Amino acid sequence: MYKYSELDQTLVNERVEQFRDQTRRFLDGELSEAQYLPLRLQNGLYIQRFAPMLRIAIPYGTLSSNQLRKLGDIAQRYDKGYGHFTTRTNLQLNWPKLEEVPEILAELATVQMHAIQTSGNCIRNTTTDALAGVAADEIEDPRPWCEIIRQWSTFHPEFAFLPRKFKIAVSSTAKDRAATRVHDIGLHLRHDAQGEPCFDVIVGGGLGRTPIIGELIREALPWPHMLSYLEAVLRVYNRLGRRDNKYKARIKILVKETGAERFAELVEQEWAYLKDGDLTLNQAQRDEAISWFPLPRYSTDVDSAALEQAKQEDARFALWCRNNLRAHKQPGYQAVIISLKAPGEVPGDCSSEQMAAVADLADAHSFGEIRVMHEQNLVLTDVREDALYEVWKRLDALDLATPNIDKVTDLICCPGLDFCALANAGSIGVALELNERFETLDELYDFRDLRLNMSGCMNGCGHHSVGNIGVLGVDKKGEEWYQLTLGGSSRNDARLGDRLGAAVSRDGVVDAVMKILEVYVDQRQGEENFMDTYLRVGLQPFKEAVYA
Amino acid sequence: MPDVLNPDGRISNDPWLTLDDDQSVPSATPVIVSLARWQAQRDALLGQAEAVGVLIENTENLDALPRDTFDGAGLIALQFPAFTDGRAYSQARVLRERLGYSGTLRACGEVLHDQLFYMLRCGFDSFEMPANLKPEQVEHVLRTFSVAYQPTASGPRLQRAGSLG
Ligand code: HEM
Ligand code: SF4
Repeated sequence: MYKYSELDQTLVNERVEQFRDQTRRFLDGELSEAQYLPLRLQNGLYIQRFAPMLRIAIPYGTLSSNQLRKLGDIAQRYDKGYGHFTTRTNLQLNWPKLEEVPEILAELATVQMHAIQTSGNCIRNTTTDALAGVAADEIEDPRPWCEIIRQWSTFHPEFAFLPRKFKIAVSSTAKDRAATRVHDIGLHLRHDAQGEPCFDVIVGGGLGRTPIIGELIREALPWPHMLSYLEAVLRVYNRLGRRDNKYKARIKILVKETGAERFAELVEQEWAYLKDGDLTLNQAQRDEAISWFPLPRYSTDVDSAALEQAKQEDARFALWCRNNLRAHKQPGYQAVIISLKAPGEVPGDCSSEQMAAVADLADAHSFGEIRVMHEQNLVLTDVREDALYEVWKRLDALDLATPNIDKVTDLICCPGLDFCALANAGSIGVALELNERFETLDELYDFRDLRLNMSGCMNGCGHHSVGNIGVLGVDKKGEEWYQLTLGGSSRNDARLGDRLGAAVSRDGVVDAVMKILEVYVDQRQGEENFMDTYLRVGLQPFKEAVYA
Repeated sequence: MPDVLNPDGRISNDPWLTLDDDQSVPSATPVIVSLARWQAQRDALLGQAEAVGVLIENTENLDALPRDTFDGAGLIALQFPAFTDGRAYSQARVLRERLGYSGTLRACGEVLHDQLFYMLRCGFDSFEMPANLKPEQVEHVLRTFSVAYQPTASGPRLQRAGSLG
């Protein structure tokens, strides 16, 4: 994975000193809350319901074992012994002390980490497919491009005070595991007719109050122009994005109000000036970026027979293999998905002990690297098939081997009322109850490739609008109610879910999901996943079942 | 006279006088006028005042102006009505990098010291004095970062950032 140069380290160290000074000035009363706010925000520090919340950047979801160990260690010493992995592949600490945050940042800097631009109206952490570099269905490794974007966007002097936050995601598979169509910019990395890398550029996607699927504004952008084109999009947005209303300030509203075609013209006009300028990437830079992500030294003598044997003998292991492994480019290797959705656990939460143990496992079995998934799970990307049984046993002992990846209980859920000042309704409680109810049913009915997403309010942190089943907390006269949507997706077939009908009560929400799944089981044909069935039969049968 | 901060860290009295559109031009004083007045009366202004600067609102689309618009201007004042409104960063880069403007480029409005680094990188070289910046902090604030990733008006990518004195 990418290792810091002296330049990167200098920048991060200087940032730590800057923030130490800013926090001292705030605590001494030299800076008002209003003046401190934007400073702490650009360092990922929010003030939440009960305590500050610190969001630590994990660039494109890639962690070394040392980094993960350090995160566990920080959570242990400065927080309550756990952290929360987010849908944008960052880590959140829910209970750090404000006066200790500069110290936390200094500790992070020792392992080449920081919290720069994890909040605020700037370019946020760029995300990608958690299986980047190993997925069997990948066209080209997006990580070198993500790192180039990371460098370009870090402390970009022109774009630190945009109308609103700005998120970029890169994907290079037909499946789109990075939700690129609901990002401010989604880049689809593919090959042009000559076999050269190029990007399809999608802009104006986003969730929040007005969820919108992004629009394609440029096809097959040649790779040397990636940064100059991004700069052109950002400049048009910085200049024209709305600043009169926080809820209309995202680029999605600008694209919608301008029209995608006209917006694309504006970008082309701006790009005409920037194209072939200083930001143009050359072959040497591309080669260097690729060299930052060397191929691991794979073995070619992996004995897969033992794996089959173990599966025969241990049904729990076989089930886990079926659900939690993903195909690898390299014969004899598999990507192992570590579920952070065990029954009774808050989705995405991970204890310090678990982090340390996963780091050890990565050292022993996956070239010392861990990925964070958009779905709030972890991945060991490069595990030999003859080590899988061993790895599973360790994970199982750590409560990290729930065999539920891409099933109902692998749900995405925001912090909701338990932590969030904006929440209308609890989401964690509902998640836990769903988990309990569906633990056995998931397997019984073989619900695969089914995404249930839940948010505690319309800000949509839990991506409810692109869940196959979406659950949204709403407030009805001080009571917690839930609006259900069906048929959302953030994959390449991205679409927003359709409203099922009136909101259901807290008591009824789990039953309602149950009924939806019953209709699916009843109607599905052959191997159809939920989405296919839904698109075929439509809303009506589900509506009838839930509101009967 | 209010203070201005210079990129070398000096704090100096600001000699520039900002005029309303209907205010007459004093002699022997450099003045700042609106873009509209500049466009309408450029030659007359240049004849009367010691030097003339132009104030540009942050909603102005600089690309739409004739290329010679700023010929003769001794200063351009860009606006930060709130420090969170970052439009003038883009204007600064367009002026420096596209329109080739090489005179004084001043940041006005809510200029806070934690933004000075970004402003320098975008090509500003004069700043309304940040409200609570103490003179002894200036040196430190201007030197917060010694490196930058982006090629901009003040230097190429991956080099020690340009004009930090
Ligand atoms: C606990 C405190 C949190 C607060 C107060 C909060 C607040 C918000 C707000 C106000 C928005 C809407 C932004 C907009 O429309 O521009 C938003 C969006 C979002 N948040 Fe959070 N959030 C919190 C936690 C989280 C967590 C834990 C995650 C990840 C698991 C998360 C992920 C997201 C995502 C992915 C979006 C949608 C981005 C988009 O619109 O494209 N948030 N959040
Ligand atoms: S969706 Fe609403 S309740 Fe949930 S974390 Fe975001 S702002 Fe809070």
